[in-house]
Amino acid sequence: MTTPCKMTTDPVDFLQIHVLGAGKGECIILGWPENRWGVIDCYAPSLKDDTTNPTLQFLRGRGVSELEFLCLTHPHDDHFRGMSQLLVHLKVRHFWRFPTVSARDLKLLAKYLVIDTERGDVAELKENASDFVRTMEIVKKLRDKKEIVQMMVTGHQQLYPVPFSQSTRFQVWSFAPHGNQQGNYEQTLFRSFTIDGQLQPNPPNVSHNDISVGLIVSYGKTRVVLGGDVERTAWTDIRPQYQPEHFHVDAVKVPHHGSDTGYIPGLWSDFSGRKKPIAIIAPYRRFRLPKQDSLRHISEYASKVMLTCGIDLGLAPCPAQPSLKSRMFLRARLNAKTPTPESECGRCSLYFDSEGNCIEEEYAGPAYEFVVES
Amino acid sequence: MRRYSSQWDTPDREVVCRKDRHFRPGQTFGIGKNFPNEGEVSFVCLYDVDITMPEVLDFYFQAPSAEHSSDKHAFLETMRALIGGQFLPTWGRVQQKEELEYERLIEQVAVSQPAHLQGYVENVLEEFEGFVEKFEGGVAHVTLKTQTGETLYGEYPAVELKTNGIRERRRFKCWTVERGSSVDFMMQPIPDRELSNDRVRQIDDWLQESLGDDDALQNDY
Repeated sequence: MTTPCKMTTDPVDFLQIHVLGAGKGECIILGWPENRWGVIDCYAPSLKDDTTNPTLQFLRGRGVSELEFLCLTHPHDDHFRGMSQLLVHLKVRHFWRFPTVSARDLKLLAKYLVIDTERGDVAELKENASDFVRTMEIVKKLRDKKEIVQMMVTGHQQLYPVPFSQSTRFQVWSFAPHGNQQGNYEQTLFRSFTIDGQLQPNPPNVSHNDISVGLIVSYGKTRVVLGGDVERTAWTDIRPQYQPEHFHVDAVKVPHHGSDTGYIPGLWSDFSGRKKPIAIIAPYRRFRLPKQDSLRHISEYASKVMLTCGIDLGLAPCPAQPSLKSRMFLRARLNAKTPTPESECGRCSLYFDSEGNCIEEEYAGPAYEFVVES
Repeated sequence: MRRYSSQWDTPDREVVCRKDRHFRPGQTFGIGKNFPNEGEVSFVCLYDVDITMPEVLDFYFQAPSAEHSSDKHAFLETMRALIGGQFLPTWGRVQQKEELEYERLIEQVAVSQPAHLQGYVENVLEEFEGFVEKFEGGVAHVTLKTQTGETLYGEYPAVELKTNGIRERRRFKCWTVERGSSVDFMMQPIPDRELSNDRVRQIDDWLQESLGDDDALQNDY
């Protein structure tokens, strides 16, 4: 069930939240008064043609050439692909990135990504690994020239403004799993290498979501959670660290594309403690995210669920050609589907005043409001 | 009668082999309670071979199957050693347990080439190149590309891919095959590309140049 909606106001004195997604990857763009902008994560369909980077397109369309901050929540390609293009074309003041992994270990992580993808020999994955290195290389060069300031987010931190001031209307705070989980992640990464620094033939799977950062953005009394790909284990760790009021929010960028591992019991009850927030989901269609159960759960606690693009319903069943028996089997056994052609990037936008009121909402491209069938 | 020594473990362990069988590429045999159901361990023959199989093959239809996965691991590794790599390894790793008793395994595990699997190669319906995007619990999200470039997305029991040695973010070959009135799904991993020492060195140099190795503080404020 969809309810398309378009609004046209051009707010200036509001907190703007734009979530971009085309069914794979996501990007969140924040805008606040005095033409200030920040970006969390990035996904670009092409690394060769930066004019197709939806984040760049959006920002250029608004004449934006500077970002106050750029945040990489965790090293998954659906969150960093194309981030190097932002660093090349925009002046970025602050770069925040996922926790753990010192400079030396970052090189280890890069080596893991590069060698593992070379072994697997899939062009797109190799390209992604290279883009990760390129992103980190650009940040390093900019740091060396003192043109960017980096912060490795390790937990509950005041990230913006810099220097931090409680009296500022627009503030960004982070949350992240504590040291044990980060330590486990690093351990797994180290275990992937031999003593002489070579990647093991069959290295353990490094779960990058385990170190995903989340952000809390406040704008006066308005509070927004940007959940990155924070999953169950991390939420179990993070939630008890705060009073429930900490997560009473007005909008949520739903963690992990609306997967059923993106929340724990009680979390959405916390989110909706003051009032039902607006939930925005950037689907990951390939993995059939968001899950129906999650959508039902989130819908219970949210005043509205916005999706940046169509979900599984948009996939056509595989055609019964060329071999009827083969395709019937694949459909029965794998629930096989033929994907619809790559859709354009959808955008869900919210405009908040500083009192927690959503003044406007906007759906662009294939974005729509999800309504649970009663 | 020929005697084979396990190349994997201690040299004094031996399994007696006494029966000749012919296997063609793609033919499969497996172990498991209700082969070919989930949880089985299956073998895919890579070459056209006449191979002398161990006597455990004879137990396939008579003996009860292995109940523990560690037994399956051990058995498979033994088998792999015995047949000299002419079958596709379906487990990525050896989990050597103490006190593995091959006699007990031989009693418990039965392996053969089930009659209903014979000759399936002639009945391949479609061939695909698969790719495991992600294992999510018991589910593997896979992408299949047909030989004409068409793409299909689907989910498949992760255990079946894993038991065939297929890992996350790796490609594999697969076929839908017709066997009598039923259709089945066959798969085998595409081996990793070997990286030469030169290539690894090249990557190390590139990362060194790009990222440096200073362990300075990562926070500037």
